[in-house]
Amino acid sequence: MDDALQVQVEETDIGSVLHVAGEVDVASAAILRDALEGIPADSRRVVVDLSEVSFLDSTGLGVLVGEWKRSGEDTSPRFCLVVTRPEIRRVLEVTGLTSVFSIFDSLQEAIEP
Amino acid sequence: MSSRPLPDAVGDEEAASAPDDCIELRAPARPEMWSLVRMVASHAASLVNLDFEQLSDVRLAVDELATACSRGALPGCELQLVIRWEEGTLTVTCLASPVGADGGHDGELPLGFGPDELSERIIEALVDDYEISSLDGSTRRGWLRKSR
Repeated sequence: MDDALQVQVEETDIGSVLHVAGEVDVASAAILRDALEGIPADSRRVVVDLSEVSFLDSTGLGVLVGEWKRSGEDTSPRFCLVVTRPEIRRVLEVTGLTSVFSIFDSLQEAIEP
Repeated sequence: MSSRPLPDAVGDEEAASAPDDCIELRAPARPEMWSLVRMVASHAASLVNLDFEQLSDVRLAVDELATACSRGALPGCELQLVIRWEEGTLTVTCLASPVGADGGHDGELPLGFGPDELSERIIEALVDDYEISSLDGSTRRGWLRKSR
């Protein structure tokens, strides 16, 4: 399995969707940060799909927190995550970030109008 | 943070004797090495029959331990990792040197806690015991313990 981090940005009717795959760690988090910073500030919604992320550490969480802050620090779904893997949900839970981010169980739910 | 005594540290004579149930890893303290650290930790965790969730916990906790110990790594910094397993318990000790005296903090994250605090919050939640401390101005050591 190739764990190198890959980020693909898709512009959709509802806003920007980032499809993230691989491991987000101290070595690769800058790739995710750069992708998030490249999204226009006026994008209606930013959906970060973590369904194919196999590892997420504190550095990656820091990048997501930074984007959440940039998007206005609220729990409205302008910035939201798609989390399907239990190990990714667990790191969000133990850090208390499940109460900060809007989290969906599937991409379909996240992009529904 | 735990008040239990620190296990035999990396670099001690006993560690140097490399008992049977032990893996030692020395690597440059650079981010691209962390995937190797996680792989070794996962393998050792499988040897004590930790379940899938516990194995994932160890993988993440050891990654965070290595990150916390080597934060502010100076040129030439080396990471030494020793993983021991015994009767369903995994003990990981980590030593990084040389590191900057201030730990090289990247500043506070938006939610009000620093990078070290986020790392430690994760480690604390995932393992039974842990500790991270400075041995001197340029060496940082940490350990963690996880049981079935």
